[in-house]
Amino acid sequence: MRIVGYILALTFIALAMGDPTIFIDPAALVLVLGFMVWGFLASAGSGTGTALKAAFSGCEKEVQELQIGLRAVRTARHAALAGGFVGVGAGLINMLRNVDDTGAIGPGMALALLGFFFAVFFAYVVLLPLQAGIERRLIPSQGAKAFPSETPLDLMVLGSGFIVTLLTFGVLVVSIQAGS
Amino acid sequence: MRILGFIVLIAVVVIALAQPFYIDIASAIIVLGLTLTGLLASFGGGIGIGFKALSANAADRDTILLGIAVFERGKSMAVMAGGIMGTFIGLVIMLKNLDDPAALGPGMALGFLTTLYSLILGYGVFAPLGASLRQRLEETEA
Repeated sequence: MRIVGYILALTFIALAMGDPTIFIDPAALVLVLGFMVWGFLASAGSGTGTALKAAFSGCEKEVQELQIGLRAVRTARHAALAGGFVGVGAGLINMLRNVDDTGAIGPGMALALLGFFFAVFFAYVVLLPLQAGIERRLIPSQGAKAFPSETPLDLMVLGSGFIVTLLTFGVLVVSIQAGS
Repeated sequence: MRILGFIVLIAVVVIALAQPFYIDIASAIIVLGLTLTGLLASFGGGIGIGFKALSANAADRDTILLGIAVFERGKSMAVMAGGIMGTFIGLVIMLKNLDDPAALGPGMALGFLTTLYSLILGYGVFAPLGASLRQRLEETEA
């Protein structure tokens, strides 16, 4: 079921993109993936194999193993989002530095937008289903404590998304006016 | 009372958005599709059990807990995976077509309508249902 869900999700995203090549930005991808992998490895430590097995296999496991996996996946999600925000900050600085030169704002804007895009993709499309799958298996032993509310994090990411969108439009308008 | 609230929500959405330019099939497919595929990857066959927790009066504790998990994580997936992903895909498509003003429309529509739909689905439908199941959980445990 998990494989089917992932393949269908990737199909929907690819259809929405139309031309996927414009979404490839090595700087943003490396930043988000680096933060994510570092978060996972640092959290799991010597239990990395256990955490990976708990996250990716759907069968029942010991509560101890599930908790190691849950902590690692949750840390990796938060680290991926942080990596995206680093990309947004770096990209916006790069963009504002070149604001009087319309041709040169492209790379900065790509880093800002695609950093946020990849952060949300890895945190919410790839890792959140893994986390929810572990939480579902922790329900019998831990009850409602297995899945704490993530509303504050969600609202923070949502607000940042709106701010990045508005800043992008603002810089765009300023640069178009400076160019004409 | 839940039915009454749901009717009010539908009425508000219809009254506020009863214009043809608010309807975009591609955005609706992206939001609904990414929410459902995320839930499928997380819970598999548990989605049906989670929805059954809404109707059954004598649902046991684990069923209600699974229902809460489905609705709360479904809310995150609708708003973030559907809405924010769609918005940024739309923004990038729009910026790519910047020199052709006629082609700006579809990207911008995708960007803003996915946000709109995902907020209605996530915070309008999923979050209140999850909260009602949390209420039911407290009643069964008391």
